[in-house]
Amino acid sequence: MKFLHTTVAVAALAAAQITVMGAPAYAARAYIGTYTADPAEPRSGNNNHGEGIYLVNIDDATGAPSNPKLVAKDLSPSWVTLSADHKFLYAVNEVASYGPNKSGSITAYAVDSASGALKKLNTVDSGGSIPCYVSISGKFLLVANYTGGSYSVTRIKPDGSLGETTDVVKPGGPMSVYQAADRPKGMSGSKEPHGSRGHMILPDPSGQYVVGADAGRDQIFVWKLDSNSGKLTEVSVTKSVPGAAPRHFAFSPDGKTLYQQQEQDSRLTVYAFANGKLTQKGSSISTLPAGFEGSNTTSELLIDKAGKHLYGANRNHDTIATMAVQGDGSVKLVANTHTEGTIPRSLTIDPTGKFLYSMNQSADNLTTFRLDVDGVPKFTGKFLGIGSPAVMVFLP
Amino acid sequence: MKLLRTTVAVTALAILFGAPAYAARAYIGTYTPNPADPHAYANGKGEGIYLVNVDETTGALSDLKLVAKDRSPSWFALSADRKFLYATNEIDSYGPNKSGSVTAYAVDAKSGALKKLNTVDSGGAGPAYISVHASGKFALVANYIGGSFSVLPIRPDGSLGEASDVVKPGGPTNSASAVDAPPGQEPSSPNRITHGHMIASDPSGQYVVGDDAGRDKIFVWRLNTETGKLTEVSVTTALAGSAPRHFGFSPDGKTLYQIGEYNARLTTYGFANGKLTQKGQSISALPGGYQGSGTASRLLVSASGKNVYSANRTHNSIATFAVGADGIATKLAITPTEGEHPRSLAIDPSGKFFYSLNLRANNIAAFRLQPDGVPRFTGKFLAVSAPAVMVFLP
Repeated sequence: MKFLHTTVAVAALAAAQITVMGAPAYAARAYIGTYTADPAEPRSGNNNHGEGIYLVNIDDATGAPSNPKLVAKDLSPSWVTLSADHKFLYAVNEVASYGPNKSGSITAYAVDSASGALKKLNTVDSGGSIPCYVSISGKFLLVANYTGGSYSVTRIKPDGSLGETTDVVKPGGPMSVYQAADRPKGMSGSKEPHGSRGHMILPDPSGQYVVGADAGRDQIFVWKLDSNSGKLTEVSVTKSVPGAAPRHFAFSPDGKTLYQQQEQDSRLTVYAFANGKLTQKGSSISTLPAGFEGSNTTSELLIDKAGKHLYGANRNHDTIATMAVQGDGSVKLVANTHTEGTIPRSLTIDPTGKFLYSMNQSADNLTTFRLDVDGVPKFTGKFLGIGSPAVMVFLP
Repeated sequence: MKLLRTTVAVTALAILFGAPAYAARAYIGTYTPNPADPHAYANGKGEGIYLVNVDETTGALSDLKLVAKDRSPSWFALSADRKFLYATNEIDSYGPNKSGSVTAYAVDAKSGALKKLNTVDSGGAGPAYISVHASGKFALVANYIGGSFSVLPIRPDGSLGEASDVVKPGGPTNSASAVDAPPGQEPSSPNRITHGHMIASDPSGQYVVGDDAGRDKIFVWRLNTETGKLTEVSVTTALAGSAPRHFGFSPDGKTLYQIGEYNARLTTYGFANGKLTQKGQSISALPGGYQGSGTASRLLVSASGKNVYSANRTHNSIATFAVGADGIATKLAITPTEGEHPRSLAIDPSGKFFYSLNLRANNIAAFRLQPDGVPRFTGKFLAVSAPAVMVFLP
């Protein structure tokens, strides 16, 4: 009887595997972070329709994601990053309700590579409210806090959980202007007084430097991270256009060029990056079609593996700007592609480089595009309904 | 000297009338700041009613000029003789009852200037639609928050009287989502009451039709043009949770096209003797395979009746439908609006140009209508804060 059981089980397993391995063939999986209701903010549920972190399978042939499976209930995990070995996932909790200081938080998860399940390890203070970006430098987690106006460094313990905060950089100084002189005609922009707004923090490709964009006081910081103490030391500060709000940036594959997208004037600036210093190359270009009037704020910026194309997300115009890197290193806008949904919070390219995804936060959907030889995304017709998507990372 | 003066004047006039040639003008209504509730839908950075010139050749809009400071004039209608303009004030703070209001303006035909005549209670909070009854003697108002439909007498001088009737449908609340809504559609708030979203005469002028987007009903009334009272002729129950929002009639008045806000679907009805009879199945205004949230807003029928258009707010697109010989609409194309949250659409009097009022992109995008009726973007934008409605002044 035991033998029979085993045989049946094996046969069932084989059958199940054949079914799983049949069409559609899943080449990769991805985690999707969403905005969720925060019980501390009664109105947050009106706009935030997600429940946490979801897992989807990606069809290799069509790029279509499968129905999402909730793998971690969490508070607004709006940005996530995987460790280099894909064993751990770190998520910001984009809230202003953590602890007595009404800070934000970051949560560490262990990844079950077979099932994709996430096991929560711990949650710690992010060093400021509304953390919106997280990345890894060696043994440290780097976080940009938007409302808190700070950048923090947190030690990653050998077991993958988060340890002590080793540094919090909170730039001071005078406020910048509200509106950039080179914004689109009719762009109303913010009128609320604000200080620094940490929007992104990331090591450069060489790993020698850490770069941070301050969308509140219009500057780009370059630091060195002490790999023992976890302290940041300032190397340079580059002033952007006042009011432009440098938000997300991307490095060329060789690390010698930094492309900086500006949220409030919808423009992209090219900088040479050498010895931890930025030198602007040429004039900035608009991510919007010629003649655009009205309001728009950019969000994500991506670069393809070859370093030939940049993809910027336009919110309000709700398009993907494809920008081609020219022979002289300058950048040219070549297309604006409808995102097929409102408020693209971020974009992602799959590991094969064939597909591009737009996280349309206010449309509660994710749309799939194919990257053609010209580098311009073409909509595949595939929508995935998911509440308030914010970020997507692949688990190869 | 006199001759010289005349010559100079004529030359100046010639320059004035030189290129670009303005074929028409249009009023644009906007949402204005709502300090009491910044999270409210009816909130924007507009200042009131604007006038623009429309270029006959390119469709481009220019010379935006504020002609009336007013509170959220988010819908308006011109009298048949174009001498008066009636604007809703989409607010919930008018008078002791915290109602909405309607403002009457006299139109200066030459300059396009607006002179305020008076403001009256709209008969409910959050008025979202106004039209002038076929008799020309009454303004009809749909109140969204207040959940009512009201009739306001138009006085001989064009100003408005107090409401002659306010219809406030009661009854059980309806479903928060429709069974045929797109997968992933975020449900609307539960326990919805009546939400008056549109009210207008049918082309014959014999009936008045009203959309209740809260309780999913389409009312047909007769209006007594002496008393200004509405008498119910029929009530059609739309699909639960679909939120019938805007409708349009075929030019012969025999067909009514109804767009559902929460299922983004178009339903065709035969209209006869004040009664609606559904024809065929409803069709989605969204692309095939759409998932996510999708709320429809404006519906338009072309002057020829050959095309029906609707606006998709979360998908930010215009759905073009072709009307078949049987009057039933089929989907022809989906065109991006070039801006977020199209609150409304407008076709110019020549029928050549089409405009999308992109509320959250703070712009209006101009399209040219192709021979098949599908709008193609002209590349022309006009920045205007929180645009909500556009009406042409030919």
